[in-house]
Amino acid sequence: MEDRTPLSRRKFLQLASLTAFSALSPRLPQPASARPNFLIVVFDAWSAPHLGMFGYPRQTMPLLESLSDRAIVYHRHYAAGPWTIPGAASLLTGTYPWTHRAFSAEQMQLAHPKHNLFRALAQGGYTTNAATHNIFADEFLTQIHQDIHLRPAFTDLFLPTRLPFPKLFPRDLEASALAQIRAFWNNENVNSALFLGELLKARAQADLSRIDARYSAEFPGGVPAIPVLDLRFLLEDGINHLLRTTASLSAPYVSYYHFYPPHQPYNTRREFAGLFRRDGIEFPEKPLSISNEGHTQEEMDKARRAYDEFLGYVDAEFYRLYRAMESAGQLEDTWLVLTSDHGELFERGNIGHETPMGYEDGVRVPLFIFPPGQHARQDVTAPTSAVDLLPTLMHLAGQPLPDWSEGRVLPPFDPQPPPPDRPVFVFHPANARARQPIRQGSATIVQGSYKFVHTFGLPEQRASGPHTELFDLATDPDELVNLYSPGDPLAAAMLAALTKRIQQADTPYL
Amino acid sequence: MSFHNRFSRSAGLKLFLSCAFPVHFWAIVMVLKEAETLLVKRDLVYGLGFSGYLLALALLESLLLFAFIYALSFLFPKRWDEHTALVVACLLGLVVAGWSIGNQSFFLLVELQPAWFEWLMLRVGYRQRLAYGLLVALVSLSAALPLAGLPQSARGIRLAEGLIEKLILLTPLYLAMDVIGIVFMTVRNLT
Repeated sequence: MEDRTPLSRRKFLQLASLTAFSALSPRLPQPASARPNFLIVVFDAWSAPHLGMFGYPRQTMPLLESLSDRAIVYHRHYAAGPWTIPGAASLLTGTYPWTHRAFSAEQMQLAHPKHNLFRALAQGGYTTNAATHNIFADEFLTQIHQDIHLRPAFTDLFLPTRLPFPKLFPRDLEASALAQIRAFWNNENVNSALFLGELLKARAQADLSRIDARYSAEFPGGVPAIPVLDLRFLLEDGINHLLRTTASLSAPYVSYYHFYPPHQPYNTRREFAGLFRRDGIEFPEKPLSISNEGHTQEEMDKARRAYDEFLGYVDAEFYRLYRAMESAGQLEDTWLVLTSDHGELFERGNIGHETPMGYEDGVRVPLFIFPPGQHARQDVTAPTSAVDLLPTLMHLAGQPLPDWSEGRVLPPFDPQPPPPDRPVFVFHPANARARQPIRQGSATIVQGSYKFVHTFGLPEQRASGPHTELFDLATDPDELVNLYSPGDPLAAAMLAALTKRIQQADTPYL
Repeated sequence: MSFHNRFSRSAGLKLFLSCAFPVHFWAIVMVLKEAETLLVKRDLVYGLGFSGYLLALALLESLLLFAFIYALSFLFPKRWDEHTALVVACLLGLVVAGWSIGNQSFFLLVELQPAWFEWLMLRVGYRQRLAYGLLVALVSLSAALPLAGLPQSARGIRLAEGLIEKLILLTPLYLAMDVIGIVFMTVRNLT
């Protein structure tokens, strides 16, 4: 796909004024190696417990594991939210959901849009670039677009359908792409175009059928897709886009690519389809969660296998990316960060990531950091959080840490190792109102070897009241034995810590 | 009857304005629906640029609807005078656009298929072309039946004319907004 990133009028004027100013001001010499590049690759809904290196019985991502001797591997890294809106916003802002207040598709406005990764690094001279398959992540990128120097149109990462605007208005892709969606292709079925909308939709539908037919042999279960938007994509194209773009960015840069796989639907490539069909591995049945969707064990096992086979596709494409960057010499001055916005689970009657309960598969996500020139694997077993990424990159860039971030510099980079009882939070805001005090949600606290899960105010719990679970992950990694009893001092302390954090965050909304 | 003298210039303009009114009305509703995204999450320049695309598209659709209705008007009985033909043509444009707005706003308000549509799809075995054909026939009948009787009633013509005159009152303003939108669009694509 051609890269048609727009340079907006506003951006042009900003750059022009900076150029004029820089001609008058003295320029300090800046060795290129002093400020490394950062490439953040996010695979959506990628669960750490599904990796063989973390004890999973299937070898889902052998190629990534073969590269792990060049990485810092975080064994207990947690998303800050159990699905894209709270999770991705935390990655980008270094704050927990109760602070950034992006709670749902209807309440996505970041409370402090200037508190973001791109602006923080750009203030130190970084070129910023971001692209995503995920419409929610794209919404956040839209909100902070003034801090992103290079951002391709959302549709650039997808297989093209013959919708006309990108061709007609190549210099104004961003506004024209949004106008096109609202005019012809709105997923709410409401189009501004009264007549042409239906005609163009029919034409685009024919394109989708053509795409499906063209790739049916390569993707026997269907082409990777975002069904709600009727968009198809190949991860190969996304990786190629990333390679082209990062090769052209001026250093130092921070580049953020948020890819949709292995998110549902799990449409894997031919060589991985059926890979685990007859492996005979059985997964233990777990007690139903309070928010179970009624899926049978057979359904969950089937979905799990499809997900695991989809991971093979992600593995192959990430490996290709790594090797391509390595052979181009790009990794010599680039820190490669590989992670996810949230996990995915196939247990307790749930498939996917709809449950507010913070079980491991749903909230523990991979984090691999590949520093330039690293040739020995380092393992970090302390609990860490997605909100730690922003301060860590600031630290590595040699810039001051923002006081608004709720994270801390990740080990082993922090000269002061985190206290062993440092709590790490995952928060699901449920239907809480973003601009009012939080009255409902689900919070997970990981502290030491313990995990505390507390739900409160959920509509389905009106009769039963708050629900709490406590697990000792050291002795019970499958979270089967709920240790919670009312009056338990550890649980009480964790609940008090959680309540305090939420109350602090709620102060502006009282 | 040749193409150019079906309607006089002023009657043709009135027909165009009555075609442009519902199309622009809907486009403006959709722009306002995006107001929060445009103004709170983005900025005014972006919002005006975005609105420019939707308004320019509305102008294009107005021209297409006008051309379609104008072409249809050649099928009107020759005994109709220009005045009657104009009123019927204007109403035809409003009915066609009204159906389309109704279809869109149904999804806007309800977001679910209506029960009768499910019933229809079940009866036609989910064959989309057949369903579309039936719906087009339904729309055509709904437009043709009331309009067929209208020319026989002088009062009906008068009432319809009054309605049209009121509806198209704001259309020149919409067209002026189109021009501003096109200017914004052009500037964004030249810089």
